[in-house]
Amino acid sequence: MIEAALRLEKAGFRLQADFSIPEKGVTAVFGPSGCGKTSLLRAIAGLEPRATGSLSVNGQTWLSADSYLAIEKRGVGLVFQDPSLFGHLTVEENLLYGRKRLRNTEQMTDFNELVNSLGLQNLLSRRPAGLSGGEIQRVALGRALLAQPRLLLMDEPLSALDQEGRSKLMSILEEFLQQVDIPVLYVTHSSDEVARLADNILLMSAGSVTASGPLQQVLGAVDQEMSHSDTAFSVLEGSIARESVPGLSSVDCGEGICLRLPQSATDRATGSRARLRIRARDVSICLEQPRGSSILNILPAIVEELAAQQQGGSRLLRLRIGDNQILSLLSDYSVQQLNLQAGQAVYAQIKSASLI
Amino acid sequence: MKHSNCRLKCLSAALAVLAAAWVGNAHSETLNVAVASNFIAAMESIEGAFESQSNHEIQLIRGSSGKHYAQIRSGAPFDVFLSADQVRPRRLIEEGSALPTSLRTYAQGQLALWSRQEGLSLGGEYLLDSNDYRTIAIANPRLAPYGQAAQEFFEYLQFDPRQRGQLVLGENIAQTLQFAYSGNADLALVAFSQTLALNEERAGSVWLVPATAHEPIRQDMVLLSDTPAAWEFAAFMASKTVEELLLQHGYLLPELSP
Amino acid sequence: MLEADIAALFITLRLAVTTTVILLILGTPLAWWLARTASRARSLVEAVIALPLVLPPTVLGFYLLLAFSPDGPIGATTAALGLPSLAFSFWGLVLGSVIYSMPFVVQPLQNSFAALGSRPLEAAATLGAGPLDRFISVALPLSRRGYLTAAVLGFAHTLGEFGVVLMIGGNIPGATQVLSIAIYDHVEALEYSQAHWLAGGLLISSFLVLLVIYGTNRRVHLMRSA
Repeated sequence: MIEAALRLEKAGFRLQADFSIPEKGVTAVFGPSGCGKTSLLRAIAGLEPRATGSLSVNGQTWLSADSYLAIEKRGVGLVFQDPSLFGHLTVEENLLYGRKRLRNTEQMTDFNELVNSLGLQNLLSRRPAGLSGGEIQRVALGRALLAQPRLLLMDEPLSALDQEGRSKLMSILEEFLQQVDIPVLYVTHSSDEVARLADNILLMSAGSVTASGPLQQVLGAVDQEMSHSDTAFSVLEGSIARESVPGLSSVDCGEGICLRLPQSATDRATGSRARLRIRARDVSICLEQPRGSSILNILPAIVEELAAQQQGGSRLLRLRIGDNQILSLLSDYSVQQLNLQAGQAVYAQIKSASLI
Repeated sequence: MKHSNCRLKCLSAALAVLAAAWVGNAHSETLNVAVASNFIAAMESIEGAFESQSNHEIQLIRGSSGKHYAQIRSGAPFDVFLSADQVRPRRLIEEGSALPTSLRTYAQGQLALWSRQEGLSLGGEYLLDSNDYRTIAIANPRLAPYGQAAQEFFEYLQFDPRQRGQLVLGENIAQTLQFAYSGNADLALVAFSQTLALNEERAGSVWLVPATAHEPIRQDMVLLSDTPAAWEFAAFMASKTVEELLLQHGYLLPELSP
Repeated sequence: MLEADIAALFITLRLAVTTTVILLILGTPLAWWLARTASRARSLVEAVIALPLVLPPTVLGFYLLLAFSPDGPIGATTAALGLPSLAFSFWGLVLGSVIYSMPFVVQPLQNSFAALGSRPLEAAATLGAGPLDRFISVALPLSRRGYLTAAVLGFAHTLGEFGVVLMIGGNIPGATQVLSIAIYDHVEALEYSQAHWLAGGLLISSFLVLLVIYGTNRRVHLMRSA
């Protein structure tokens, strides 16, 4: 469990972040550029000596009114945005740098296992100078983990990579981060990354934490500032189902709810975990079950909550479909026309969803 | 007719004035005199005396004779060279840079033992017997005749300064004095003329080394320009006025044969 | 004469090596502080260190001569401690050389440390390395080039020192007669051929040493950081 109330003042910027994070899982720290995500991460790591407030990690006090635990004693693994490998050491020496400095030989991650799962076996004797961006970040991740950290911090690790590097690393991270058994804080401004990797989310804006909690719950809060943006989205979890019709994929979201997508998912095994990202503006509502529609996914839903206020002529609703919740962005006019109320049974038309 | 005659007269009068002025200017020269560092105090007095009875002026360039020699060889515009030794003027004559007939010993230097501490009774016995000093400075014998003389003095005394403590070499006689003046060297063998030029408060203790204790320190001069002004200066250097000034400044009169 | 010249060579080398080693040791913490501090005192310290770059060496020599004398601060201290005066001594020359060559060593080190940036050191800290550990295992190896430059410049500058030594050396063979003074004396004494031997020899050997060092440096350079 991580509990924090951090304060930091930098040139023209003030960080005032109060939050708590569970012991397990990937928590995305999400917000627009400049909202203080990186400062927050640095403050947690101890890289901001002027930070004040309190911070405790798994019962250990890292920061309080009268104590400040030195960076090297915190056991925090940090993967920076830009390359941070030691140029004068080989990949292997880089990987072992933190391991060599461990004080107590507690339970240790197996070196070879980690190297293999990150795909670094062939790079061990090379030097950082010749590596690609993606390779560098994988080594940085391996290096951080081999030092047996209590907490893993990742600061937009994909942003310095090109398109190809990003997608390659993303696939590795998706699988890898699920197996890590320490809490992970993942800073990003990409909703895509949030959707694919996060179990929980910390929303930030102008130096403060505006919401925190499990992903779906936070995303579904209709009065949330983030939800008011045009890019508001929901995430559904499910598993790949067998699809009889070629050219279509099926995702089983439990309770008989199956979403179909016009994309091929032949590269994914049946039954493997899948997430769907659905933009709120792609979800419309019908009071009766429509017929003869081109839309693939029309599902019965219950209106759970409407946003208290309309924004720019639009109104956000949260719908419940089985076990899941989806956001829908409608014109305020439509909401009034259809006289939509909380608790009402409707049909949700999901125009498009991305399999991520 | 009358008009043009008048004009002619005016013109010739003007020309005559100009000519007189031009000729008069040609007679008033500035002599560049390169003078050895140890002689500078005496030279300033001589300069004053010369300029008050000649319409020529003197520009003094002080420095080590070694540098002056090198500069003259490279074409420095000096008219007169007053060296600290005899070797360099002769070399210049051999090399054709100086006028042979102008070679003359202009002064003979005296060596002095000096300390900045007041009230010491310095002398040969002091050097040999006293335990109060550690460092003694002399000019580099390879470069300065006073250094050479100092070495000869040590031999005369059968005294090895390195047995005592340290022997330190100054690049020139001025630096040698400076070492003792600043207190870094306890004693220095310098030109007697230098000790006379010191301020009364800093006069320290002096002992004149007898001339028999070393080879005579003959300082030669030579002319580099063959001009009337230069020759006038050369003649002046042999005058009674200068002889008095030499004695006043702690030099001996040059012996007749160079 | 040849003996004296060889002695001058050894004194000169000894002076250059001693000065360079002392400056590398003293210069490291100083350059580190300068590279990383935000203190207002930094400009003042930088200006003081850079003074020898703009002052004629005779100025330094002059003040040292005064300082070494029995009524100067350094001379009084050495006398009080029962030590011999630093004037006309090898260690006096070392002190003069250290002051005079300091900017040539501190500035390359400072630049090298500053060029590291904070990233590698922050990474090292998160991996469990304490401050001294970070310096030795990360900062030093990444600053190899800066150290090489500092050492070469410090050594070369001391090798060529003349003005300071002229003022405070006293030209004692085997102790303070360095090569530059020996050459000067040969010239003054009109011994041009000896002067040629010494000066030419110094020129050629310095050039060869620099060539070797910069050639080796190229290979170090090719293994830069990511």
